[in-house]
Amino acid sequence: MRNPLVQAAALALAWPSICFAQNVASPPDPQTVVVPDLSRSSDPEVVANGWKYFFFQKNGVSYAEAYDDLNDCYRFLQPNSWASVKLNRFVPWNDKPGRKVDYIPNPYGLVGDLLGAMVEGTMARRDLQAKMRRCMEPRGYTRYGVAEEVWETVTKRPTEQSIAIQAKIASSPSFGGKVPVK
Amino acid sequence: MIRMFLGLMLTLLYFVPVAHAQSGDEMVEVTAGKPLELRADRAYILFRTNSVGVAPVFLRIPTDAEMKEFDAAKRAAFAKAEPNLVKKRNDLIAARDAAAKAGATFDKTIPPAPSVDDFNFVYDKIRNVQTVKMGRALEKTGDGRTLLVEVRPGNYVVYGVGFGDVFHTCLCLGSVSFSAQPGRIADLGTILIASASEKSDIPQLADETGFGPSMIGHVVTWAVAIRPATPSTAPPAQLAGKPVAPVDYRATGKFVAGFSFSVNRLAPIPGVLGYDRGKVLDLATNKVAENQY
Repeated sequence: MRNPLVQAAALALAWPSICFAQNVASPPDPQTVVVPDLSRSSDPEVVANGWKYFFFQKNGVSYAEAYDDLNDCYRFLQPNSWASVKLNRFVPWNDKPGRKVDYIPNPYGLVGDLLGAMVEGTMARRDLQAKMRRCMEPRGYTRYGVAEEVWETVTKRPTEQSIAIQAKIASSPSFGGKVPVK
Repeated sequence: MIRMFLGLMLTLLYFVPVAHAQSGDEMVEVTAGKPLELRADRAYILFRTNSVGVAPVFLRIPTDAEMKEFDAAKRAAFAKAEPNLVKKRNDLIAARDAAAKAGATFDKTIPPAPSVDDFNFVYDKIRNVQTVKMGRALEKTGDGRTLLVEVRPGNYVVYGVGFGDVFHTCLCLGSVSFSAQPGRIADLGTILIASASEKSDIPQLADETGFGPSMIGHVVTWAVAIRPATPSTAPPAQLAGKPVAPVDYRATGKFVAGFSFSVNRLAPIPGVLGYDRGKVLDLATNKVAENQY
């Protein structure tokens, strides 16, 4: 996966909904937002895997407030690879830094590419989840595990839709099991 | 487990080129053993740290002249790229409309109309964000390092944590800034760094750590705290008689970096930096610190 073109394409495909987060004028009407079936969230297996696949919930938070919080946190979810995290650059400070994917020659050929492809998706998901935790948990939100396919379906929706679904979940009664500290 | 092993292997592979520092760095570490002559056109930052590997990343806030230079370069690059960006967007819109006509689903995001503001542009003529090479410490002990770094005078932000030229953790969710004056040594105090996954026994990091292995992606998310210097903080013996003074930290609101693996916030500093849910508080003014977006 060190080929920068492959890497960039993989990142873009993995998180299509993230790239254009941030400047949404107002959240969609919650009545039009359809939440997927979360009934499997109480399954012990889903709870145990909740550290990998989860959504946030907070008692007493409104849909609009949850939407604002999620929208704010989505600003920080830009996915990265080893080819896009280089320092020693210009950062305008009052503007968003540009995104550059450096070319890193791969001395391990096809085997290296295959190894990279196997782990890159997992690493990108973990980066995203860690970012969301550090952004949302100080705001009082708690993680609840969801089935992997539910998480995949929701997070791969276009940004506004994905945030709206998660905001509706976050502002609804708690569901399933809290994720163990992990 | 196999994926973790493969991840570790890849991490090690990717660290190979990291050891080669790039030339043209704005920050130059001052090492022990040489008489120190402070340059009048340079400032110096001094800090102690518990870390012997990863290092703080500092951002120098660009001058007005640098921003003009950047803006001009960005506009020129955008003018060149705009026709292609417009065509790509129009193609997506056409595909969406065709899908709608055919009753098919279309799940791609249509980007906003291309603009200079949203244009992805990397300017590499100036390097104002950089980490410190911990191997070039002024003092080394078993439990930490003391670094003295020659920098360009200006205002700086404690931007995050990195290793070599790799940006690990951005302190995008709240940090501090300080001023570095020419011909003087700005004492940053002690910068404490620990993995956010395991509970740290450093008191300032107690609430910022212990979040478990989900803090580990490409690299671990780093937690950072600062114990500011005070007038009674003793500088290293090599700096006796030099103009060393503690910095006045100011809270910095949230900012988007976009090129780090993880994000975090600097631990609260009494009288300087605090938080209210997602808001960064400037405790010196009792106001919400301004976000940089």
